[in-house]
Amino acid sequence: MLLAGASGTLEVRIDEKRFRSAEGGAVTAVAGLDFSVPAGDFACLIGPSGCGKSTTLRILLGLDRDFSGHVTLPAAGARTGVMFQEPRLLPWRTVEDNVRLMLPPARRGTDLGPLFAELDLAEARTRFPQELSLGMERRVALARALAVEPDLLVLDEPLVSLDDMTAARLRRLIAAAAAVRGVTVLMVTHNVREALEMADRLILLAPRPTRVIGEERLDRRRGDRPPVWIDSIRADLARRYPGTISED
Amino acid sequence: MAPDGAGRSRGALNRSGLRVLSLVVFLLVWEAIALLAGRATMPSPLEVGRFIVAETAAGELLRHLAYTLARVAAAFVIAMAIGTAIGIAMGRSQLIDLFGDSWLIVLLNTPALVITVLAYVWFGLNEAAAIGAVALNKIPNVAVTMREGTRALDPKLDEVAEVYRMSALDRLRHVVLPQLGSYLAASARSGLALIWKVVLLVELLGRSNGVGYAIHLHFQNFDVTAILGYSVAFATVMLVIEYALVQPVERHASRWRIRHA
Repeated sequence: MLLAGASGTLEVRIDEKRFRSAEGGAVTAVAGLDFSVPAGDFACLIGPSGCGKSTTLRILLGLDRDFSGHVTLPAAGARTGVMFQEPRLLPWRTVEDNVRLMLPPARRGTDLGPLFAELDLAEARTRFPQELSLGMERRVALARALAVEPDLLVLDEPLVSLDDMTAARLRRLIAAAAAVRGVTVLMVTHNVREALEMADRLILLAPRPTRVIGEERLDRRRGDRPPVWIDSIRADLARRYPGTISED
Repeated sequence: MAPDGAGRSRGALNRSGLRVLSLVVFLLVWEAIALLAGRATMPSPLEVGRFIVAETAAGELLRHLAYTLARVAAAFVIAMAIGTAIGIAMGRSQLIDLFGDSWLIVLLNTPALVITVLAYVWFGLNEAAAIGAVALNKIPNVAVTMREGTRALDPKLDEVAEVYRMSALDRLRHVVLPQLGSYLAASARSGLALIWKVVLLVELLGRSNGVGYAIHLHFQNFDVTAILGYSVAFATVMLVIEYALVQPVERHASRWRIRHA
């Protein structure tokens, strides 16, 4: 176990995760899901909606312990930064406090100036979340995740319901921040184009009960992936994983 | 109480104007009733005002007010602290809720008089029994309100606190209590109103000072002016507390909400 931790690899093995349905029966959400992400890799979990991606994230974040299997984080006592689907900021605290309060007490005094500058939030530090656009709130959530100097960054559809320009901007910010820090990233998305632009590795999931049906390594350097390349890879994936990746 | 800018100060002026008007109407209605009912049954506002001035000059009014206010404050703090703790615990844990629910219902439905009399019988005619009895009357109300508030807490923010490993104290301060703010304000407000009524009862039954004692004393002479005088004086104090303390605190706690002008 110590060795696995020291190697810095994220290992997730969920043998089974069941939910009690509203009618009282049991629904199996995940069955035999098994994957690992090497240290510093940017991995994307791709699967049809409702397949259990968010459930998998909740399990590896330690928010759901009612499952059979095992999760090994990149390091013993690893710090995790998260962007949930919604920004989930504290509406009664300023932008700065939202970031600072999540730091371990010993680091509460850290100068957050450079981080706010990096994410273009310097002007927003004293504002309250309700005064921000969704795109800005997401950037605050990203700042909060990066501020803890995470060993693992978990992103649950961080670009969903943003307009194209805002999404593109946030995508670049996330990619740059991850690259600079060399942090291990696990991102859930159903946008294949997004995944092909950002990830080193795609983990493709089956419909519920979900399991891994394929892993793809993307060797072309991030940031050097023209639309033509993305389209061709996407078409190829759609042919090989028709249940998970659609043609259009 | 910081100035909120020129835009809102005119609105504030209109609002305080309306408050003054409501007070004037109240005094006029009182005066009219006094004229109709006769002085012995219903003294006029002016007579009651004179009594308040004279009693204040004699030092009696302020002394009794101070005793009552101290008891209200002590009982309020105790009831809010214990009631909030019980309410949060019951809202968070189904087991504690199941265990404590029937206790709460029994306590909610026990008359203040019964609790007061029993407290004096069991613990003697002393200050601790008096304040304890008042607090015990209020605790179930606070607990019920705070339980509702706790049930309405957003589990998504809890998950954020969990992932970022916030300490229990930080969670309470920055995640839980701000969400409970409006519930705290509601139970504080209804709490003050209930507590001062029960304090008077407790003073009437077993104390030798305070507004309740003074009213008891004047009741024996059927001195309506004095009874109204003490009652008005204390109601004024509570009004001041509401406007100078409760409302500003509430405004400060909800300053993050977007205000729709």
